[in-house]
Amino acid sequence: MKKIKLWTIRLLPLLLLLVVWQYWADGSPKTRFLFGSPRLVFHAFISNIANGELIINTYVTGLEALTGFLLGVLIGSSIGFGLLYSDLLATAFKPYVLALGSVPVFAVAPMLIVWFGVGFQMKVAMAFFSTVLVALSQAYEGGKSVDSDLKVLFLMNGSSKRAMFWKLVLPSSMSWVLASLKLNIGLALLGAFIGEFIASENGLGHAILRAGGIYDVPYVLAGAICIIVLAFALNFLVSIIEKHRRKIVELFTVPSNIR
Amino acid sequence: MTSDCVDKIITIQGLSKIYDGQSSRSIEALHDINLTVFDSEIVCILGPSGCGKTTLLNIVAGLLSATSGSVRICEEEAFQGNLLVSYIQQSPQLLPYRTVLANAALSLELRNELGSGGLSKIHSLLKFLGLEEFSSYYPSELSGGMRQRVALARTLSVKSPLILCDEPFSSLDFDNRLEIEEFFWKANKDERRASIFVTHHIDSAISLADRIILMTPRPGRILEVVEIDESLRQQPPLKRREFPSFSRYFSETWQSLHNASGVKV
Repeated sequence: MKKIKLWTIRLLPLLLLLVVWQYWADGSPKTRFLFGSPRLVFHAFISNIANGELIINTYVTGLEALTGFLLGVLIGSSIGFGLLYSDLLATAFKPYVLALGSVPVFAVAPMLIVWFGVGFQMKVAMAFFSTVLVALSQAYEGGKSVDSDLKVLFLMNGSSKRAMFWKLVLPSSMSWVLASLKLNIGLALLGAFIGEFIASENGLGHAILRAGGIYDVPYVLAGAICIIVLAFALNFLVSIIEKHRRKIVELFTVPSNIR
Repeated sequence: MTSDCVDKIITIQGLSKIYDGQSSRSIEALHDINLTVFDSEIVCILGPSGCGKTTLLNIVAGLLSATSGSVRICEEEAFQGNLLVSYIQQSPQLLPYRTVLANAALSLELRNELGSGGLSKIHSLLKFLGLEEFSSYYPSELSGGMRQRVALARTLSVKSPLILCDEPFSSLDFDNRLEIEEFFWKANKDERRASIFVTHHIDSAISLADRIILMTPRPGRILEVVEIDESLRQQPPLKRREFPSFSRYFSETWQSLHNASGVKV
């Protein structure tokens, strides 16, 4: 009962918007041209799902974002954790990480086109550069925040550096890494999307840009719906990891006989 | 245990520690400490706060270096990561993402001794400490007393001949403290371990110790060594409290500590 009430409250504003929007658009062709109408957007969405166009474009954008995300998080986190073991390198790198972090990835997009062309790889690179520095600094800060008394406990038991990393540093930094995943999944999607906007042959960014070029507002909005769905799907993947973090940590860091 | 480690577990000679403070203010924490601890002996250290008790333990554990003097554990210089030493602190230091069982087994796991023998030892320790049915719980689901029991299980699971205790049970309520001290004492005597037990509870010291070292305020020196007499020493902690000599030791110890800190009693 409570759930029904919750969803009623949530869906009501949307419903209201759709009704007003439709009513308004029905009354004026100018409005219909500028804003589309719920019926036209729905039609554009369904027909382009049916002919496969939006599905393929969503798939392409999702794959670019996900690949860039995985590479960025994996490489960024590895470097971040690695820097924990060298104060010298960490000190040397810090200003550069800050400086690079302040450069919007779009500023270097033309260079990425030169390096990788206008295809899949360039979007992956965009998503990668959007995520790698965040992953790096989150992993480094997470590793720095490990309780020093717990480190002493490990050292007192003759722990190797390797055991200390896998059984203490990494599990203790989980909340930092998870925060980085949540932030980065959005950044990766943005990176891939903007990459498509700048130069591409397919993907949602490409499709939306092209539709805008021919004043096809309903198609633009149908594409936007696909982006929302994609963002939800990618966030869902991260939330699965978050939900099972304890089990994941246990599986990888605790010997099976005491799990 | 190595063969040269059957009798004297720790020998501390002329130990001093000076902390180099900022702007050339250095603080002398310990001054000329001499102490020998034999196997299966519990030595309690009592003293006002700031007298260097924790510093002393940290030097024995190899976490700090001495300014002068020597600390030898089983004829070896103290060093960090010495597996002859097991250390339990005031806060339990449990890993929040590990269950009670996995936390209790951590020391053995890191020492690569978590075979079937090690595992059954963990299980029996958990059983004796009343934690058996909680072995799949996480620290956040336990009370403070239970967490400290898990830490004790972890500390006692290893084969080290020396256990260092830095007020491990001080934050527990009275009942819990008595119960866990009883267990600690028995486990220590059964395995003929030596321990240095820092506390600020005079009653804990008298009920656990074979010898009590009283320390002066900073810089910490040995003020007095109280030998617990043979008849009391044979008794476990709870029994000791029933003896008339218990209260005599209590008032003497209290008097000495207060005289040293300049407070009239």
